[in-house]
Amino acid sequence: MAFDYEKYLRMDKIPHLWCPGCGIGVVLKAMLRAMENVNWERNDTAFVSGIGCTSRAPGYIDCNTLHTTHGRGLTFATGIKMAQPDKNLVIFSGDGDATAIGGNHFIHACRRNIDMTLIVVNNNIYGMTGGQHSPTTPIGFKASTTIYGNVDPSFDICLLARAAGATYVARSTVNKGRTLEQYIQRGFENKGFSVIEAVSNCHTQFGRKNNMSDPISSRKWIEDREIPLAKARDMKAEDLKNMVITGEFITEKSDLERWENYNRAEKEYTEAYSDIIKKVKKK
Amino acid sequence: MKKNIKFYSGAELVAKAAIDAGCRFFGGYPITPSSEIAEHMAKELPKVGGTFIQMEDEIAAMGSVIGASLAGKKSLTATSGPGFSLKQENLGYAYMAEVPVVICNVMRGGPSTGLPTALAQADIMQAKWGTHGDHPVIALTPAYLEEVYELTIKAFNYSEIYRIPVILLLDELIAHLSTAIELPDKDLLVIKDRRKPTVTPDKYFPYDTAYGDVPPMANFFEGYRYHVTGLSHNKTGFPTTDPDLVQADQERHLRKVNANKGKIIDFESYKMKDADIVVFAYGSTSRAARVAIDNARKLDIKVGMVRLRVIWPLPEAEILKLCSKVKAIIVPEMNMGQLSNVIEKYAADRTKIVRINHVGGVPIHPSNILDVIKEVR
Amino acid sequence: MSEKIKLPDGFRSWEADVKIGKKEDKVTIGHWAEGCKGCAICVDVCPKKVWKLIEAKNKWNGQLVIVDKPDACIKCMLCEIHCPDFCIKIF
Repeated sequence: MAFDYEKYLRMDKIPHLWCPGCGIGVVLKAMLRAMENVNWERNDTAFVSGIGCTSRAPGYIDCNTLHTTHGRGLTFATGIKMAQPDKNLVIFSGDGDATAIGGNHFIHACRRNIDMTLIVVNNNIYGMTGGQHSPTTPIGFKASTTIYGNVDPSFDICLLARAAGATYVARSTVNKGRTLEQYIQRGFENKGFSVIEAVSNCHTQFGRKNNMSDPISSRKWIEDREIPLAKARDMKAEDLKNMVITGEFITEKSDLERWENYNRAEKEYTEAYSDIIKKVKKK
Repeated sequence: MKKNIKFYSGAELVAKAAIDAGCRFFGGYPITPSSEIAEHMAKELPKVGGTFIQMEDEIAAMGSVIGASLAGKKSLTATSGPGFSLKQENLGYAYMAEVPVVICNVMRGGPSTGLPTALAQADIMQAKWGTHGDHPVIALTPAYLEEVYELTIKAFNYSEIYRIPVILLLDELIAHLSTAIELPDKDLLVIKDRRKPTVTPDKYFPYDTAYGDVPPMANFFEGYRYHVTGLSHNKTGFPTTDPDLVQADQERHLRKVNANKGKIIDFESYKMKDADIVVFAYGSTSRAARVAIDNARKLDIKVGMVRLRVIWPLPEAEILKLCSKVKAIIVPEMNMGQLSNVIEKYAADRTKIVRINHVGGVPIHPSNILDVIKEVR
Repeated sequence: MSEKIKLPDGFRSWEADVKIGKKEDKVTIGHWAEGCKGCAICVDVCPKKVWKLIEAKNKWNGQLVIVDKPDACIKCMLCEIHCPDFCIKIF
């Protein structure tokens, strides 16, 4: 049955500003379905973003919405969550917004394990500013600031989030709307900091410079590089170069117990802080 | 009657006044010489059910207080020179989105890392023009510990009344000074809160000028579900590039403070009745000036002082009046002339501006000021 | 269109009797032409070629999709899920 997106949207703002075929719309829809799945009230939910194409997403959602400064969405959201710990917080961010200018906030939000969900739409480029290369532009690809091919290595957003301490980390692509919905829902359900990376197409800025200037070929490029996590585990590093490894990066309890996670938060941040309040609050 | 006298430091008083003003969130980052404020807030906030967080950097700290304020909690951050520079981006956001917050900047020597532990009044102009674009500014400069308490509460009140960030400029000396002071009775404090909307959510606009230049502010999660952005926006909170709307909105922002200058401007006139020389001072420097003036009076020099408790907005009318009345205005500052440059423009050759500029980190001694008073008599 | 199905204003609908596997069913496909930017993702993801790209005058890229073969629909929802512009509804 058709989904009632209108229930969650500010319909007077639709059609949105994204280019025809832009993947951000697909991610936004997956997020709205996930929100319905967990029965979040619109009044109790805030959407926060930084700057960039993806960061325009909150403006279309009929909730408490905050469009902040470049890369800083997580910091505003942290303040909101600390002020109102029982409310739902979702942050929309692009690859540049989350991992370049907002990189410090990104790793520390993961470390802090504060109960919020960050959705990173990774389209490998700075779209809004005109196609400059981002921390996720693959080696060899062209951008308006890598005219002769990119030599700047990429971040793996999910591995970064996992290493920094996020307690739910998953990646899917805009070709898999249902999977995205499922991962985002699990992010919402996780009591702690969740990162969902949605690999997306920017045919306008990234595609045009790299021989895939329409949404179909850009989406196909993503699809062709997708390798499920389970399969990737048995593959050699050189075969995984520039590939998109998809799946849930923290699913098993054994993962959490591994030595690399010895410092992982035992409690969600606002819960841990409310314990302090209980302990010291004036009678 | 039992007096409420206790031993406090300036930093402690900022924290105490903030909590008494209703502040329930602090987001900060360690930096000398303001860290003690964060430490006091970390200790005191949970006792009143508030929350404290040490963020990953100054930028994040500023973002967090704006977020917390939007979520309905009065919020404070504290920093010093370099941290204040880092906060400017999100400070501009708070002006643009009209979010009440208080920023306490304990000034230190600059530029750059400068003199982290030494006295300076280096951020007078940064407080006025630090962030890009035009915006209204309220900045307070307490000189005594009683005033730290009083003006911190005022800072919160102004931020709530006018929906703007308010800057508390403390000299390092004021923040670190400890003395026994008597605090006012808590029941007698005047505490202001942001004006809430009286309309139902369907009729609410976050920047609705139908209610005057300061629109009523709904907090997040109260059912109003509005949009906030740092882009130029219309009354609904959504971006606009309409030149007339953008122009009108910027003018309104400035009017919030300019039209209320009479209520905000605050200075002390000391021995000014017959003065033909005036010392224009603020913060700790004014304390040295006071001693110098008292000593000069013993020498029958008619000198007085105008001491700014609020440095922005400036008491322009008073300065203009003084310029045609006195033969010299002496401006002692722990910077290279940030305030005296401004006063010089008002003077426009009608009177002499004499500067005393010390940036070595050592307080200006009363004798330094007295020497200058004697020279210009 | 059955009474239960209510499309938002501006949606055009196509109805058809369809066979999904061995099961007989009815489908209502709603499309909002005004919001459609003609990206053709629906044409690409549909396994049954229900959608067709046509030339049209609009403010986007001069393209628009229409429903070409509603009776081929198997209600897999791929077009609805992957339409970035909230223009497709499958009932």
